[in-house]
Amino acid sequence: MVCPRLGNRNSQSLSNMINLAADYGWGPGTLLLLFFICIVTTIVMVFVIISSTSYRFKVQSFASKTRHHPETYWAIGVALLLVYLWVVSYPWMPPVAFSSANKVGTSHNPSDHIKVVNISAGQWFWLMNEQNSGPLKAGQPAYITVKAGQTIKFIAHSVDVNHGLGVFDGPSDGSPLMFQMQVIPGSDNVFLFTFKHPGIYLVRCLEYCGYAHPYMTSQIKVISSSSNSGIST
Amino acid sequence: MLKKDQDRYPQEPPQLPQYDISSDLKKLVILFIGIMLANFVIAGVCALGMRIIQLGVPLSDQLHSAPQNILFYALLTSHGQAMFFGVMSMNTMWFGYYATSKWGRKPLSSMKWAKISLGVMEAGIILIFISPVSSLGVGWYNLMPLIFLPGQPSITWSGTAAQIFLIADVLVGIGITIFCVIIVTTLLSGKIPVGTQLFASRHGERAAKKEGEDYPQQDLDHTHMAYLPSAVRWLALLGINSWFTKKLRDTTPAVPILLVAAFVTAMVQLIGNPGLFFQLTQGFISLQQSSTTIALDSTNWLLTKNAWWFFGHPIVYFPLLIFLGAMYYLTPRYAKERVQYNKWNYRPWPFYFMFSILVFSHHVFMDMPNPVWLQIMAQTASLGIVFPSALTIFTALMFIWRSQISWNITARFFLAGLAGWAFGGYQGAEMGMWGADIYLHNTMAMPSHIHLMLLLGPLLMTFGIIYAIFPDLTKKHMSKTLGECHFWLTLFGGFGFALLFNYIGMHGAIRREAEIPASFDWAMPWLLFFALCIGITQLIFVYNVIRTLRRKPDSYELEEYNRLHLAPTRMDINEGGS
Ligand SMILES: [Cu+2]
Repeated sequence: MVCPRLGNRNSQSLSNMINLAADYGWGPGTLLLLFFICIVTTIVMVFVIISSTSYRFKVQSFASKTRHHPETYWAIGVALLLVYLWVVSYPWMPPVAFSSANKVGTSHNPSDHIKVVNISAGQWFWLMNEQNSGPLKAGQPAYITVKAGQTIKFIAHSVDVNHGLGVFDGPSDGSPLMFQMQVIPGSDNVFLFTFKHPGIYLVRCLEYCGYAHPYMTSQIKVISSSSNSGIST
Repeated sequence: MLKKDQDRYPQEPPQLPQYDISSDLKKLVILFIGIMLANFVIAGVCALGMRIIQLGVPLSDQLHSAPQNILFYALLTSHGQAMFFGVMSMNTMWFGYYATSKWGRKPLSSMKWAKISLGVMEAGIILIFISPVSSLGVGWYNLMPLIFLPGQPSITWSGTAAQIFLIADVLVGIGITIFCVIIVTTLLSGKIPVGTQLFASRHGERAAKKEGEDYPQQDLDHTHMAYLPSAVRWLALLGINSWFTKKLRDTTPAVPILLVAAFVTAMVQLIGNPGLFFQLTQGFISLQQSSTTIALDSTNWLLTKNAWWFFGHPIVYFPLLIFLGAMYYLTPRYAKERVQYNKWNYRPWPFYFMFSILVFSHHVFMDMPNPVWLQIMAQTASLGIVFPSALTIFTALMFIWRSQISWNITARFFLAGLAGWAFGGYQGAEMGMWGADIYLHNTMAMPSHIHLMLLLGPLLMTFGIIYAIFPDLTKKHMSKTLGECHFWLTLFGGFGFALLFNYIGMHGAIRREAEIPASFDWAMPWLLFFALCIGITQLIFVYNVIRTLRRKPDSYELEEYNRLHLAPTRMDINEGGS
């Protein structure tokens, strides 16, 4: 399972946990489901405890009950957890993650490190090509070939309504989602991503855009970095 | 006959404040509930239609399935908006009116405008229900510019249909604004019930010593009406004074927490509504343009989208917050427990106020051109809103733990609602972190989140409230047998279907897909089954309401009503039961 890049500088970070889980063959979906099950179990247990103990407690006087506030400890605990989560997910935010990717690109030879892919989205098609390979036009293959390990800078435009670029980890429907961004008309929508493994990656529209929205698909072919041919088809 | 007498929730009369709301308002609340249930049934039928279309035999050629898809998206649109506005928002409106008058112990600032708000809202909802007929399918969030560009070939909706839809939303916006203004003006003017912690702790000490009657006991339960100076009133109504030091807390009064909830709800929505009006203005301007190209180029669609969500997130909290306030009154009352001033019950509210305004931008996490500060604010606010939510859940559980709960239908609906909302809130926290949202945004995990947050959160609490206040409104109790069916089937269907949504969403199923990928086909019959469970049980509930409305109150019910309303004692009002 590939993750949005550059989140793994902190050994304790969530991204590493997901990477770790991916090594065992778990997608982020499974991992999140496990988190979810944990929460459900906890809440159910709390309910069972409450219902089994509640009859033992008689109505007491107000003063005696509120002298001690477990709420205080709970509030502090929750606040600390949230601060931790905020810090952990900060490096994941696109501007933060992308700025470090751009630095890597510019400090060496940018063309070696970052490959720009232009995308044009419309009702209901995807057009893709490399930078400097002519205008995007109808009839062009709706897919592109890139190398594994190379950082790709997707620059997406919409010619009509709001679309969503969703790239899935596999060639078939039902593959897990790998990354996504909205494609808003009138803006440069930029996302940086590095494919780690060769293969076919399904592209689907992730924002409802009219009645043929489910069929707005394409694909990205990723070849191994050692091969020299087939940069673009 | 004996069986019929027992078929109600006996020995558990609604423990509501002594103040009796006007019969005009009672009629309005009943009318609101009736119209809300009608909207609920129609919007539910839309949802069943969607489930059935998704069950359909997959067609490989897109042209063949186009009419089916068009119907699917039209149903999706009216289901979404009718549920948000015609059901959830209306629930907040009638309960907001009821609670503000009941717990505020005074009439609303304007009954006339309260009636107008219902008329305006329902006019909007009726126009929304036209969209399945006119094939308009833009989603409940009306993500512009889709509404002007239905796609080629343009075999879907017309410009007139788009105009009707925009007008519907204008009416809804006006209806909600009227509600907010009524709540705010009612609470900011005249006397308001107050109590302070000082009174409460005095009571505690005195109770422990078993002393006499000479202290102002009524202050403890916010039954003392006072003209609060405006500065203090704002502090109290937003719950800010709960964060003061003990000395200042003892001198600044607290108002009933339900009024804090109503006030925060109304204020947040008043601040958020301009977002809707901005988006709708952009819509009308674009419709006037001579060509779609000009309309496309002349508008900042990112700003329009952000503006919509500035309204769109508050409208998700609009149905919720007031019921969190109600929980303290309606659950513990059955728990034979007083609702006193406990600073921790009040402390979440300034955070709800602040974060529910700021949190909107996590809906636009995946919009890369948005500025960095907006992304950072989105993440901060979405994690931030977990803080008051976690406090509310904990204080509610502590309240119950400290008391003796009787698991009647209202308490159970509230606890189930709390659980649904807690699950939904957990998902919300996931999606509020960018690193997880990238996998979850616009997948079926989102509908799961929203159904847990609303259908299994405040809507369950609403049902609990209807069972509880029905005797106050009509002098009659609803049927217990039907009520139990309603409770268990709603829970089974609701959780079944929301959790299944979540499961397939986490495995990459996308939301708003008329034709679901073949790998998720197995889930569709189950989703239909769960949806049918919810649907059938709501019909049972509607039948229960109608049956109760039509029959005459029996002697037990009349005696109870008169005891509570004509000759109330302190025990009836503030302690549990007689
Ligand atoms: Cu699209």
